[in-house]
Amino acid sequence: MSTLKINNLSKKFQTNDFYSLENVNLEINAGDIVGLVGRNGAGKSTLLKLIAKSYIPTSGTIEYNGNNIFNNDYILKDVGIMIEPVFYSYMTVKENLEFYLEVHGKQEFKKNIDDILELVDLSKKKNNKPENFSFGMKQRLSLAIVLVDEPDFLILDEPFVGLDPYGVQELLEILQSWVQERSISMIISSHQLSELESICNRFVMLEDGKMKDIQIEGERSLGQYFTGGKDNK
Amino acid sequence: MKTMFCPVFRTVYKKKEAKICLLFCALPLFLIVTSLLPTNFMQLSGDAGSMSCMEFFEAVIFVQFQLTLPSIAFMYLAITCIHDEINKGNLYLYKDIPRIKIFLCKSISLLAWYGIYLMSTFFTSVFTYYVYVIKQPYASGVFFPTRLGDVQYIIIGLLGTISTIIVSLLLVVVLSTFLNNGASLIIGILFTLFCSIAPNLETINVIFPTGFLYTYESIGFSKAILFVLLISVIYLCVIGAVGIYKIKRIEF
Ligand SMILES: Nc1ncnc2c1ncn2[C@@H]1O[C@H](COP(=O)(O)OP(=O)(O)OP(=O)(O)O)[C@@H](O)[C@H]1O
Ligand SMILES: [Mg+2]
Repeated sequence: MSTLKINNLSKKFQTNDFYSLENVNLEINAGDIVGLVGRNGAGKSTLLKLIAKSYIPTSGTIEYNGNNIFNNDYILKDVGIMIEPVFYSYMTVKENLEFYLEVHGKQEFKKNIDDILELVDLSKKKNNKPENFSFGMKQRLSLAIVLVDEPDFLILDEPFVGLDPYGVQELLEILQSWVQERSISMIISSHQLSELESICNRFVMLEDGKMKDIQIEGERSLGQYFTGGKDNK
Repeated sequence: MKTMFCPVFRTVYKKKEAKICLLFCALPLFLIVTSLLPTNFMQLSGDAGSMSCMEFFEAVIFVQFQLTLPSIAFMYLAITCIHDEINKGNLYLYKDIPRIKIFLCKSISLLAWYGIYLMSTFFTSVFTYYVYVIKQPYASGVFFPTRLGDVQYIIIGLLGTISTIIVSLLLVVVLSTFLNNGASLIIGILFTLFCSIAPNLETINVIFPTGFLYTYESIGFSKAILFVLLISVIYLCVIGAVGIYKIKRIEF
């Protein structure tokens, strides 16, 4: 069963004379962990924001479980969206998670809060306000919010950016343990292929707004492409 | 909607900007403080035995409005709830809950906070009246004024001021979905300023909810009330229509 189906999706911003995304087709099936790679400005965030419905497409459609997401409300109810770390900085960690669950009418997941905070290593900060958190902690809080209602589909835009190698490893381990325990589909973007290798089972590449599907065997040459051959194993 | 209101309201009143708004409820208490100081600041006066408690409350609301600072504090709160949250991406937390519903919830939360502000001001006014004002020669010592004309004046005054603030708050909510903070605030302040001088304007006073304060007697009290409500509803409809158009097109 197809989970997410993107058909001929294009996006041109009014202020630009070029397409940030052009005729993109992509199908993400249940269980797919898709790595979305591409250079700065390739259109990764644009694509993910379209899926998250924060951008309106110029043309094309996105279907989630067979429903056009732009024609219906509450389609993304069970989708976790982390385009940038967001939360209310003047509310405590716990209040933020409670807010998210209540606003979506998902009180039944409140029992998950302690486990999720344990998973992202924020249990001790449960009653703190995230104002003065480090970047990594903010990132993990944001991830906790997204995971707390056990989404079926995850959208993560450059979740590793700004993290030190230890932070990247930590986040990867969180995601891996999450993926292992349940059937979930995911699309994660990054401009660093190496970060995605251990978690993704499929890669797609964007270049100047155009999609290039690549097989997992193509990884090596892709790595070469991104690092200019320097780091090529 | 009901399930959404509580969590959204929490995100509003927990802001420090919301607490700043409430500080202005303490305004009448200043009267007690300044009476102890040798200053003319905020000195009330009037005919002997003329001021009832409700008239004092109306005067407090009027002074708060003339000060414009409380209005600015509320408009600023609205901006942080709308524009800043769009900018920072907080809307991602709402996923694809219909946008209109999100903004309606936020607007109602802001209005609810204004309601709490009004109630708090009422309590500090009553407190000040019975602790301090009542001892002054101009106080009448009763709660409601005895003359019908005075009651009508209070109602027209309060209704005009409160409608103006509600309209200006929702105006800023809608403006801040597409304008930057400075522009939204300036337009909001200009609207409030026009409304505060409206009672003194001729002819065009009728397009402002506050404009009937001195003329209601000539057109009749109930007609004046109807006009105030009608004008406010017209403003709200126009603002709402622009809001619906703009909110659907927000990209963040
Ligand atoms: N809101 C916007 N308004 C105008 N142009 C935009 C907007 N967002 C993105 N663009 C343009 O669209 C193109 C793709 O941008 P996008 O942010 O999707 O790239 P990206 O792949 O996410 O890059 P990065 O790795 O730097 O995050 C860029 O040329 C960018 O300038
Ligand atoms: Mg990006």
